[in-house]
Amino acid sequence: MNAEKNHEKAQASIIMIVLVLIIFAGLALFLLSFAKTMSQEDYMSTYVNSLLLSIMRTDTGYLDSDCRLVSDAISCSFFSTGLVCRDSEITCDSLAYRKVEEYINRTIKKGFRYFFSVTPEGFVARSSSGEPIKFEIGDSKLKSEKTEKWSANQRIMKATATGQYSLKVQLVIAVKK
Amino acid sequence: MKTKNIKGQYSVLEYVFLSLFIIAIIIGLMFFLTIWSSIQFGAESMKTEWDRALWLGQYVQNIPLLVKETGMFDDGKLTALASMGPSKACEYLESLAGPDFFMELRILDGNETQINCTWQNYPDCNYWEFCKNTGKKKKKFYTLPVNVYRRIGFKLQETTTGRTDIGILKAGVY
Repeated sequence: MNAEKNHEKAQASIIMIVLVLIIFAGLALFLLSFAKTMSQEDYMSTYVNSLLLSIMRTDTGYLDSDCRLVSDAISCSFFSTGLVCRDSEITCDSLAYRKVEEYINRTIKKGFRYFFSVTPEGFVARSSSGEPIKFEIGDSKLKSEKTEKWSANQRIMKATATGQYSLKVQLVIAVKK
Repeated sequence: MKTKNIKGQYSVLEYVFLSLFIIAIIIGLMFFLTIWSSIQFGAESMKTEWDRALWLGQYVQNIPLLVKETGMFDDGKLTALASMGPSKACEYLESLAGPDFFMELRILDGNETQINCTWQNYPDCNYWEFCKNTGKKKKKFYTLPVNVYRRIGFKLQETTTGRTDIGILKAGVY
């Protein structure tokens, strides 16, 4: 009976030692989880904004003022749909699509997907067939997907005889699954 | 009597071991907290270096010595600085950006060959580097998309005109 009691005491001691070790390890893990590492948020926010701005300011290769920069070609797609760039056979909307896609694919980091869209603000731009113009490139699922993503916005303003209009340009990027 | 003595000794031993164990835990905890403090300090120091690398990436895009406007480098200015020689150019930039700094700029013109810009090959080139020291230890850097204004961008029949290209800036610290 005494031997049994000693056994029980020993077992209780061992259990207590194991419990203390577990608490100790748990405490260590808990504290280590607060060790700060590099924050990517600031960088990714700067990156996506720089990417969008750089693309919009890049030359397309055409000297026509309606087609000169990527932002000019995008603006032309909405306000002068179907306009052919001077000394070429390409329309400004085709050029805008082609150049945005080309520059993003050339520049974006490996392992990232994107969604680029242009939306008229406060008006509806229509093509010659009467359909509302939609300018979207990339993975459209990114728009509504609940995943870690970073976005940048810019505006293209245009003053015409009938008033001032603006286009909202948005670029969203996320890591590929 | 003997049995009682032995039992008593076992009880005392049990308390001694328990006390030793508790002391060992306290010492272990002290060591752990010391190590954790140094880990935290190291992590903070690393974060500071990464923050500086990001700040440099944004700062160089505003230096009038290199840019036409924010985020748009001027290829003429870059080439002029590069032509001063690597050490002189680096000294100049370090006086603005601080020590242990480096930067590289590559135009994404679709050309797979990287051509270092000098006055001899300007404007048919697409790459600049400053303060690049391959002998130094690990570096921390960020890459950012930027524009580069090519002064001789379009060569027309009788004249030339500027052109804005897209490029990648790599800026960081050693």
